[in-house]
Parts: sequence; structure tokens; C-alpha cells
Amino acid sequence: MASSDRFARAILDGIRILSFGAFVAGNTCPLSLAELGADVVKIESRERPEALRAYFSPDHPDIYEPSGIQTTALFSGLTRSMRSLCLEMKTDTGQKAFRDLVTKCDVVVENFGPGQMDRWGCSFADLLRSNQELVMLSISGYGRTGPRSSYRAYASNINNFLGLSSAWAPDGTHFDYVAGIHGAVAILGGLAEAQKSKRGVYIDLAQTESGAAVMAPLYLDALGNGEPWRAQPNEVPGALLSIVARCLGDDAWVAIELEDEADWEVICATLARPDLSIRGRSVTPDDQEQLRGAIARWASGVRPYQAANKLQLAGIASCPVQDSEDLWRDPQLRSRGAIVEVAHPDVGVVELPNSPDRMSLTPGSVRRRGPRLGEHSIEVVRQWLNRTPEEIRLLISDGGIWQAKGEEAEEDEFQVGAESKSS
Amino acid sequence: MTDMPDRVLGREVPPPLSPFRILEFGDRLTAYCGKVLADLGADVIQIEPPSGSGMRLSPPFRDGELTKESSLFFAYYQHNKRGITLDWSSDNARSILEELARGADVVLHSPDARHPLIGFDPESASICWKGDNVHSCFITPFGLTGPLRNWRATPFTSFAMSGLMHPVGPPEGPPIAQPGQQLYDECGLHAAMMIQALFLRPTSPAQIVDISVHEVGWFNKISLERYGLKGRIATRATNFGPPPGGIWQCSDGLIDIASHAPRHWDIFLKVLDEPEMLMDPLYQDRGMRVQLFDLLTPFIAELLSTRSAKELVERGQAAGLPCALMYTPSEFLDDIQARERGFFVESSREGTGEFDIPGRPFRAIPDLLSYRRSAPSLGEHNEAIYVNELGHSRRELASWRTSGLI
Repeated sequence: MASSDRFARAILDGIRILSFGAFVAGNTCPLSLAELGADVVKIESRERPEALRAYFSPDHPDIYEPSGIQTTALFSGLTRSMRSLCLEMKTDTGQKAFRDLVTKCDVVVENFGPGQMDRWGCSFADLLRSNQELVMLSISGYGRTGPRSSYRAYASNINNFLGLSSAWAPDGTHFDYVAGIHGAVAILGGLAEAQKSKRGVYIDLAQTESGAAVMAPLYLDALGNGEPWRAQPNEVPGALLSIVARCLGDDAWVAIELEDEADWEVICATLARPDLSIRGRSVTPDDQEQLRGAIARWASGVRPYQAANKLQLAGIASCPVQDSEDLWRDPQLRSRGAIVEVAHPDVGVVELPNSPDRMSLTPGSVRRRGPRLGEHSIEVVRQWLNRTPEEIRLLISDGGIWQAKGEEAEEDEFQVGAESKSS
Repeated sequence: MTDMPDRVLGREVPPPLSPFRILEFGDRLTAYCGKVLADLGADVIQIEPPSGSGMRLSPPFRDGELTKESSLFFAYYQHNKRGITLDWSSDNARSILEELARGADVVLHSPDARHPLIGFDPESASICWKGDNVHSCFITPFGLTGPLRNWRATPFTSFAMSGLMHPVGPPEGPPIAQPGQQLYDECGLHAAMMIQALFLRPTSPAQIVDISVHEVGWFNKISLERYGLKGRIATRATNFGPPPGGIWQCSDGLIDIASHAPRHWDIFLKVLDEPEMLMDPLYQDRGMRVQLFDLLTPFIAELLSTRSAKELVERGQAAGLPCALMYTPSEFLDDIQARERGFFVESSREGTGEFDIPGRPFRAIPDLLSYRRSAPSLGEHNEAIYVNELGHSRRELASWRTSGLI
């Protein structure tokens, strides 16, 4: 079928995105769209490289690109599927080149501190003069308006501000991913809007608000009844029982949730404890205590997968609490190809999570390894702006763009779509 | 609440996803996907079994009393959707499903062996009553293929499986699950993104989307993956970064400091008026501060214990240090920032009354999101859809009701 052949390439083929996005939220947002086929050009500065290039971690030791610029496995993973354009926005030529590129793109993404885009003369209002149907996404911690708009935030700050640290634990970059994928949804909504209205769309995404939207269960009792969140650790409101039980092995655990009375009866039968049945009456704290004890005793003699598997065969929701090794050899992830090997000339071969976005004809996929700094500067300017070699040389000598000598990217498998507005 | 037309919302063109229509046969897995698409203007029709969706049994309830209409959880996740009832496990539903699908662009479904959707074949991921031009999107805990495809899960057990839980909690255990259903919602957002991508390319042949919570949780490991690189297993005892990152007790509450960039150390020292005991240039290196964690932590704890967290956040933010107060969920709700930005929207319906729910996860000019109606009561749109749109008679409707079909 001709049409499916065409779509077998990528569903977002032809969408062009310029991204200043940095850190986790700023990179995963355009990354998700790139893996569905959008042409994402990540703009980097040589003078002020993204902090993640030098991010300290014992797992990401110092690695240098041939140009001498530092990188990390973390950074190359988060920038995969994008191309890199090294553009110095401090220079007039750099700003001019950026505005020219904006005329050829659909979307601009940024998550700078407050006011940075304005200082470059590249606010949304400014950029609309270059492209009146532009969709621009600004990601920030607290939003671009309001009394805390000047506040800086990393994920842990968001976690604390939203009350999740107090209700759970001070952990994680979860809200970076939540913001990133909300950003991707917002961008596609913006593109649909711009298609209809022929006018640009400015999106102001606050990580606190995108986070609060998916944390609604923590707030609803307070909002509706004036009752604070008060569930205990590992207590699932509404469940008859939820438990994380210690299993055989080192730091080995299984998580089990009984959603209703039927589950309760099944687990009593599975553990051969008919005496703990509650048939025909409601559960008391004493019942819960006794069943907890029975589960804990049983679990201590089996391994996490063994426990989960046995309960799953009986139809109970249960999973091992997987650690990073369990996850690495997870049979489900391996069998579905959810772990993908990405080879990088400086970082080496790294196994990364594949795109989770499975579409039957146009699946998301890792389009390319993370780029070296400015690896595609010349290629992008040539493709998007139709610049001659002489014009490009001038742009480089004026300090507007930069690319390491001898690092011209090979002409890529990546097709710039026939439907893009520039052609 | 009556439906609000576009002109009242001040829009010049219909909302971005109007007039796309999505049939949602789901539960907690599909809920946020459907909600986001509805907020963007799609006509999302939630099809509930005649006894009501299982989400109607999800707490909290208005005044703590469980009725079919009192779930605040349901009121949030089904806001902006329309709702009809149909026993979609019954063979008798086939012809009605066929009619419904004729006007739809996507069938959104979270298969559950306990309530099978008639005509759905999990092996081929096909739905026989759905037309050839209708997309289908399946949101499941583990995916439609693979050895664990039939494993049952909840947000609690999915989080355990994701690898994100093991390093969280006290070192002696147990690991602690994140409350709520964030991973489910995040998975729903991936689904919403793919559905929107399909809408942007109306010439795409019908596609099947197979997205799983487990893979979305694993995707969150792009920035955290450790084992494949070094064979290291992160544990609850080693889950920390260089000081002063983390949470500290102050005189009036707790402060969270995130000092990821090298310059943040200098800013931190300035905010504390350059305390003698921290001025050794050795401490400027992040790697060094990790190694000296046990030495530096008591110093910093002592320095911060006499300071006001509120004042430190103000001073720190003014100087460019990412930091925040540790709020309880209720304190967040009272904070000025989200309130002033109009984050909350009103839900008003029988059973849950009037109350604020979390609203715009992002703001846009022009506004891409519209809040048009509160969550449907059970079968609220049966007449509008079965009679007015599909042309069935009220008598038919009555007989379906009697037979338990709707």
C-alpha cells in the first residue's frame, strides 16, 4: 500500500523543531517528538556548554569529544535522535542566523532562566515577526507569570513544592519527564491550533503545574472535603490491602495489592489460609494485620519473581520490586525490544531505553546517537537556509556558528521531509 | 454544568482537537489520556458498563460517602468527557458499537481480561466492529505482547516493577511506592501525543498504538540508567548527591536545595554569608563533596538549623540558587503561585458538588485548553448520543435499559 510505505517513515516527518531545551525536561520533550520523526535541531553554545556535559556522576566519568569539549553518557543519551547546531547567541551573526532558521521551522523550545530569550531579542513576540505561525514552548519551574516566576527549580524542588516529598520521599526526576511529555502534547496541540488559525501559539509550561495535574490524587480530598492527604507509606487509598513484603534474597521485595474482596479470598486460598477469609463481612484492621503477617511469613521463604509469579497465576496484582539489575534483565523489556544499544564514538556502546511509543506503521525509534557539539552545524544551515559554501564560511568566521574541523557529519539516513514548509 | 459554546470561551476557531472523536473503553490507564485530549477540544466519550466505571469506586468521596456519583477521583479524571453506558462485554452490543465507531476517529482501550471488550482480539490487537479508518490505542501495564502481557497491575505494583521504587525509602526498607498514579498518567500522555500525531496527518492509514506503563517507566531511566554502564545497583543507602543538595531542617520548617551546577556552591556560600567552615576551595568540586559527604553534612545541618527556611528560599532564589520549601500537599494548594495563575478549574456536578480540581497543566496564548463540562453522571449522555445522534427511538433505549444492555 503506497500510503503506508510513505507513512512507514515517520508520523511527524516534516515537522521542524529548534530546541534550546536543556537538562532532563528540556531534552526529553523534543526527544520524544524526534523519535516520532520530527527533525529536531538542538542548539548548543561552545562558550557555555550545557551543564549536563560536565555533570558529575561516578557512572558518567569524564569523556571528551575530539574537539576537547566534555560530554557524558547521560548527556549523549538525553540528546539522542537530535542534531546539534553550535550557534553563539551572544553574537549578532548568531542571533541573525537563529532568526533565519526560525522562518524555516515550526517549533521553538526553550527552558532558560527568566528573561534570557528577551535579552537576545528573541521573545515570542520578536520571533513571530520571523514566523507568524510559530509554536513556541517555554518550560520553567513555576511558569513565566505570577509571583514566583523568577524562581529557579530542579526536579527535587518541584517534588518538595508540590508536597510529594512530604507525602512520599525526596526523590527523583519524575517531574522532568512529566513536564517533557506534557510539553510534547502541548506542542502538537499548538501545531493543530496554528494549522487552523494561521497564527502562532505561545505555551508557558510550569513544571509545578504539569506535575500537580498528575498528582491530583494527593489533592482531591483537600480540595473537595478540606481533608489533608494522610495515607501511610505504601498504603493505597481504597485498596483492601497493599504491602511491600521482604522476600528471600538480599534487599529483595515483592509488592502486592488486593483491590477487592475477591482478591482477598484468592490470596487466602493461594496461601492456604482459609481461616483468614472475610466472606460476607467487611474488613477490619485486625483482619488486615493478620493477613499482612501471613503474607510476610510466606514471602520471606520465596524470591520476588517467584512470589509475584505465583500470585499472578492466581490473578492477583503483584510485582517484584525491581532493582536496576532486575530491570536490565527484565524479560518483558528484553522480549519487546525496549532496550536498545546505541553506539557513540566517544561514549562507547550504551544500552538505553528505546522509545516506548509503539505505533503499528510508524513506531517511535532512536533516530541517531547523541550528537557531538555542533556536529550538524553546516549541514543544518545548508539544508534549512540553502546557504552557499561561501556564505557558510562567512558565518563561521564571524563566530555565528561553529563546527569542529573534520567533523562534518556524514550525509544522513535522516530524510528532511518533503512536506516541510521550506520546500 | 451546561456545555459552553466556543464563543463564550472567546475563541475564534474551534479548539485544536475539535471535531475529533474518541471512544474510551477504559479505566485508570486511559483516564488521563482521554482527559488531556478532551481538554484540547476532542469529543471524548467514556463508555461505562451499566453498573458504572470502576473509577466511580475510587476514593476520595465527597464527605467520605461512597455513591455512584460521589468520587472526587472520577470527577477529576472524567472532567470534559461525555459519558454513556453500554454492556460492552455483551454480544448484543456489537451493532451499537459499530454505529458508535462510524463517527469516531480513535478507539481508546485498556484491555482487562475480567471485562473483555466484545470483538477485541488481543492476539492480533484487532477490534472487529471498528471501521478500517479508525485508529486504535491500547494502554496496558505491560504491553500487548511479551511474557508478562497478562500480568495484572495497579499503579502501586507498576511502580514497584518500574525500578523507580527500589532506591526510595529507608535503607533498611521497605522501598516506598510513589502515591497516586503518575506513571499511569505519564503513559496516557505518551498515548495522547501519538493520537495527536495521527490527527496532524489525516492521510495516515489506521494505526494500532500499543503503549505500556512498564516501558514508559523504563523510559524514565534514560537519565538514571546505571547498571548497563557500570554494573552498579543503586540502593537506598547510596541514593544521594553532593551536599548541599537535599532537604535540611531549619528553624521554621524544611528547605530543599538543588545545587547541580558548579556555580551553585558559590551562591550557597554567599547566601549563608560565607561561613568559615565551608570556605575550603577543595569543596568547590562536586565530586569532592560527594566523597566528603559525611564530613560536610553535619556542618551544613548545623548552619541551617538556626536559619529560617522561608527567608533562605527568598534570599537563595534572589541570588539564583534553586531551592524550595518542603510543602505538604495542602500547603501547595494554598500557595500563591498556582492560585494566581488560575491553575485550578471548577467542577460542579451532582454527587461531588462544587469544588476546585487541578486544571491547566500548561498555559497557552491563545488558550489551547477549554473546560467545557464537568464529569458525566452515569449514562448522562445516553439520550444525546443514542437518540439524537444515532437515531434510535426512546422506546429502544427503554428496552435496552430493561435488558441491562445500557
